[in-house]
Amino acid sequence: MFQSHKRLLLFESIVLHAVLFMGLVISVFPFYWMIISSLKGRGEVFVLPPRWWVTDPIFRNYLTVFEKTNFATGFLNSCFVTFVKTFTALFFSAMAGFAFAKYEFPGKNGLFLFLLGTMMIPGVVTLIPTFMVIVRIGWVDTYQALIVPGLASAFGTFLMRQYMLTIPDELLDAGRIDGASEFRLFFQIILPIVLPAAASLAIYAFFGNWNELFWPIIVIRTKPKFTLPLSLMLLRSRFPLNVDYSVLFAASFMATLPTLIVFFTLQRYFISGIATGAIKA
Amino acid sequence: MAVEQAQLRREKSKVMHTLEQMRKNWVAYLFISPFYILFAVFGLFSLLFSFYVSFHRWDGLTPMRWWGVKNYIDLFRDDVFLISIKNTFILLLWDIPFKVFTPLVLATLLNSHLTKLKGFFRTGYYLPEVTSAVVVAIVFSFFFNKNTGIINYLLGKIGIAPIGWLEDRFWAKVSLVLLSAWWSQGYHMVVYLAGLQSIPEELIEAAIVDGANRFQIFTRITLPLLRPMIIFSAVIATNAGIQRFAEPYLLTGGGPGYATLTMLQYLFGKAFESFRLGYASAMGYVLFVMIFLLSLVQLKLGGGRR
Repeated sequence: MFQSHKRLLLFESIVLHAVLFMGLVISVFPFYWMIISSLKGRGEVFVLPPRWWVTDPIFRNYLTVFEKTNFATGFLNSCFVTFVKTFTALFFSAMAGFAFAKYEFPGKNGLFLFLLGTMMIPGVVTLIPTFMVIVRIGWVDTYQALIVPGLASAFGTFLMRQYMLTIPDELLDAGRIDGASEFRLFFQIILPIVLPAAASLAIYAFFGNWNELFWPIIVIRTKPKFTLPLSLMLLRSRFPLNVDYSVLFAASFMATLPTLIVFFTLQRYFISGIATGAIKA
Repeated sequence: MAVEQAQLRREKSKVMHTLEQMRKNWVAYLFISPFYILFAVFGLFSLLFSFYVSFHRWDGLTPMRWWGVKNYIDLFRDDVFLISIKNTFILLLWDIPFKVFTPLVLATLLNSHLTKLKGFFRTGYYLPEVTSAVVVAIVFSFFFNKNTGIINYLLGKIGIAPIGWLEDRFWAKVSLVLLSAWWSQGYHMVVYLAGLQSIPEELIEAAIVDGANRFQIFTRITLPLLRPMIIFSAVIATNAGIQRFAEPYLLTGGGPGYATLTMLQYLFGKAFESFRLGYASAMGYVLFVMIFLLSLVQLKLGGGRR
């Protein structure tokens, strides 16, 4: 009786892991394929039956990406835009979140409700007029156009407020008694406490900004301002002659690498962040 | 008379008090100002201006012409727009199993006591989510290739004739759904997993003591408690589905014909390729209303007890 129960458990465990493993293979296989394809030789990505493994990896493909395409420009632009946008948005969110959590001021509730309400507005509606604003202030094809419209984050402010509410008021009062200004309180007490907690927000924003495609297509016109997704898109649609398609995979992999690195090193913060976000919402 | 004056004085002191409070808390207003300034320029102004534009005929360069509600009327006579709505909703419907059902199954399996290496699996499942649309499109356009693609090769092994994944009207839609399933499954799974982990152990144990079998536990305890997660996941999936743009834009170009043209893709084309800004603005508002109504319906369906 006991024996058969044990055997049943073992059987169940095997089936369970088999299903989970199949799912994992499907999730990870495209990455594997991208990496081995990036190391393949001339025409090899089209060969049938497919080569599941590379016996003779061609690392030169990665150099070719830099020689024959404007990948480097796109990469640097994306780094710059993503960095500035992610941190400025985070900073603004922290500032507003601090005010909403730790000050009592007239109109606070109304303003906060309004802020929550703005989350209901889908990007589709504001898209065209935001573009018109960009045109009117002469920002077409500039970094500002990529960065500034996305800096106000209602969701970020909301989350920051939630974090700040957990900071005891006594901490601030102690600082005030010591004669610290409100700005110093914010920079020296609040920010250091709240930043680790905000890591998930920052990482989430990083992925979104790094992979952003729709808005850059609209406001960016010239190659020197292309972000990485635009560079890749151009490379894909007008693939240079005499260059092998494995180079396209090499570029794709390098474009993905920063997100993979961030994901693997910081996933602890990140995944728990999604979970709490879901539970709170 | 005296009463009125006292009243007036009280009103006055109340105003003074408010002003005093505002002056004392000027830092707070300073701290929240970036959000409201940015929102005023890029959000509020945009919202109102786009409403205004939607009643005009405008190419963005020449002066606007008053056009009344004609943009809105034309929209509902525009066959391509209607097709794009239909496509968007078909894709949304086909998405459901992959965004609500399979992630729930995976999360349940992952949450089992028997499962080893939970973190490892979770990381693997989540991985696709961090990839950019362009990279996904590049890799999958190779997979879906009719002649050299790996999917048709594998299907050929079990005797299935090559499928025109991107060339056939039906299969092109399937391709988009499969791609988006691969892409976002991990996210939904993490949401369900969080929900499952928040269910108190004692509840399950009590049910076992009472003689409930696993199926009963799942349908009577787990599912009802997961309801908020299911609604959250459905809302996210609906919003993403209605605003689907990158996958069809990059993978099928909306084709073959108009078979995979989505609403946002059509709006994009009208606004930034044909420069019919008034028409596209009207389309934006129609989308807005649709998204709003759908969220309301979902909240109504799901929020019974809240």
